Amino acid sequence: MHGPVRVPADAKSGTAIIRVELPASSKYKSRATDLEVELK
Amino acid sequence: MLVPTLLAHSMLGLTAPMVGASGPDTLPAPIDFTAIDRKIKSEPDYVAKPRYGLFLFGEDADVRVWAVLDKSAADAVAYDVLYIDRDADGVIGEDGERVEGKVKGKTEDSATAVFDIGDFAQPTLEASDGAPGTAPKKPVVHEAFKVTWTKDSVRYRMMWNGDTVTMGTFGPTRETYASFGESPKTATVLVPGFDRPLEFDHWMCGTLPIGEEKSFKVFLGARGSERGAFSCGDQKLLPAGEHVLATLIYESDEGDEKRVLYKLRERC
Repeated sequence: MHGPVRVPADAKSGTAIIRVELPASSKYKSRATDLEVELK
Repeated sequence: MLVPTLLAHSMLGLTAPMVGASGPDTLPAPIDFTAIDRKIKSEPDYVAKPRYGLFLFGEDADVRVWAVLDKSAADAVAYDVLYIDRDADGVIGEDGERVEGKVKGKTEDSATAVFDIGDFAQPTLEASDGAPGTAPKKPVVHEAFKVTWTKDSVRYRMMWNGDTVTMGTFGPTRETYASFGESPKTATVLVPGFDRPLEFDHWMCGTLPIGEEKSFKVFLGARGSERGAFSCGDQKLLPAGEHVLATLIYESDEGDEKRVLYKLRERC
């Protein structure tokens, strides 16, 4: 799955987190997962 | 400055599971890969230095199926023999557990070996004596199970319960895709299928430009023992109309923690 992500202009460069999960209404259960990303 | 939670997870350097939207009470605990029993009861006499992988099945990930690569001849360019511990009893190389690969390529760098395991009846621990190795009353059968060896990685694919693709190994870049380990202790551990809550990893999205838009891509599946050992479904896994939530948690120029929610709706 994918989709557009726009990092706000006020973000400081460096490490950030994208927390990924499914909505509670999903067919599947999910465990929210923190993915490390670098903002530049 | 970053909040402690954000810092703690960034320091891990790995995908870090959190309690999800599905609620903490309904989810099995995350797998502690450092605590997995890696004992093997017996092994055949290998021709080459074996390479070890371990598949975990079941809601509690407690059904252990070893996959061990070997060569048919010491000078073979590819790992062209696979032992798959079909009954999860820790005895490697029993009848029906040795699969010969179809090899293409004439050098180690170019060679590929594909092992067609076929239908795979998932073993269970729920035998009458509580031991693994006894077929369940109604076995769950995963179809078209294949393992592919190359010098740089070991991949697999199967139709979970006959109808949903599960495959690996994946990581944030192709260079991270996992291979098998040199010993049971360092075996790459893989968690195929959908017995457990879905987890996530990203693909080719480790860097995001500030103030610009970029497509953020995620795998849906299960973490393995290391980065590059992720198992995932394909683009048909989620029903039409379902989406993935992605919350960017970042530090602003003023030092505040801020969050932005995105919905990932597109299929790859």
